[in-house]
Amino acid sequence: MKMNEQEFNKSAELLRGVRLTESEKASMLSSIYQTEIISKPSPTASPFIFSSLFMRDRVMVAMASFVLIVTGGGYAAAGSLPGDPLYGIKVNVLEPLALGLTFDEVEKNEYRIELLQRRVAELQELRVNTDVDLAIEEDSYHAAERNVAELEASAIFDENGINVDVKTSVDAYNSLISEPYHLETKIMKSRLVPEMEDEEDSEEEDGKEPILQKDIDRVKEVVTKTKTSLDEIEKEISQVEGTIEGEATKTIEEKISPFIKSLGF
Amino acid sequence: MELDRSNHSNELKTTFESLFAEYSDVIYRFCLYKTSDKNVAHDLTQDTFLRLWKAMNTGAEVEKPKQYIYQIARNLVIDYYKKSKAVSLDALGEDGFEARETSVGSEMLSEFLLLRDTIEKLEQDYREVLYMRFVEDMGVEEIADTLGVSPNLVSVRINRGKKKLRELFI
Repeated sequence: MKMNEQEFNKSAELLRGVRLTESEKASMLSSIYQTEIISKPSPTASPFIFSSLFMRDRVMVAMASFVLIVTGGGYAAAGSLPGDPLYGIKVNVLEPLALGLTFDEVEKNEYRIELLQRRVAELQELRVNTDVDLAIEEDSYHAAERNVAELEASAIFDENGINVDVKTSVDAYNSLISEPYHLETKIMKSRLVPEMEDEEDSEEEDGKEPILQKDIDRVKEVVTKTKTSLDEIEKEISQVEGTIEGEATKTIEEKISPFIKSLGF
Repeated sequence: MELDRSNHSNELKTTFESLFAEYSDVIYRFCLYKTSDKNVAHDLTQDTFLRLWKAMNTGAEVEKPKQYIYQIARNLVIDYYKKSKAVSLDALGEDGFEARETSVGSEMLSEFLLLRDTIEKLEQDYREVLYMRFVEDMGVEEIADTLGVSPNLVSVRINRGKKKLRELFI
């Protein structure tokens, strides 16, 4: 059902006039005040409660892991592969827990690389025994992507942005999975950029105009000129400074000397 | 110490009541417009202010109260529709369905429903802006402040929304 502009405006005006009655407001306020309000939490957290969500999460993970280990579910999950119902427990609970229980930073990094190698091994196993569909690939990719992100955050790459173990694992992983799920580390990305620029440069060199070289010469010329100008300006400033200083001293002496003489010094 | 707490509690109550006095009608109209049911609108308004009161009591700093209150009401309306969908038609048939008593006449409600249907035919971006402009008679700056967007964007949405609205009229 449609309405015209007049009807629309009239309805809007009618609605604008709708209000709660004073007794309705009073009853609302009364109901609100009667509802028990949880008091403001103390700024100092009680040692007996896990007040933060972070702590609660950790406790939940620890409890879940404990139950899994006790019931043997953890063992089953540890051997699971992407696509298995227990795979989520393996990569989201057991592995982070094991990582959390490793306190030495070097050992942690070794474990992170081991996890990435594990992703490769899982894919290899799947390729041999079953058809790997997109859902399985996605499962594996999410786990591997997290491993790579953790490796990047741990800064275990050398100055050239290379870590042989990581690179080998990433290459092996990419060879086993379809292209949309290829892993790419930030370091690898940054290494790609200069290579691409080099290619562009070589294309330019093939042409008749060495544009880049011309630009460099031009920049050098401007820099030299600017430097000369700057030197001149600096020289002028020091000259002016000297003049000002001399004149100021002279003026001060002129003003002060009669005064000093009158004092008899 | 006890005196400080009492003063703080009184201050909180005063602030809350001034917010309630200023916005309870606005929120009630908004809920009525969204649900076309006076009782539901009443309950949702009460819940909105109850949440605000709780938030204030737990130390939440409400920098933009109008924006904050509208957001609570909006969320409650969404929750209400989610829950309404969960009520099966069979259950309604068994229990019987009685029309709620309302002080807002049924003719008036059907007009509001028609008004809402007309505005709701527009894209999401225009709906609330036009509601605030035409029903609440808010200015551009006020709408921008309530929705947390720029006044320029509100202006554009009002103008475009008006054009689209005219296309929907008979």
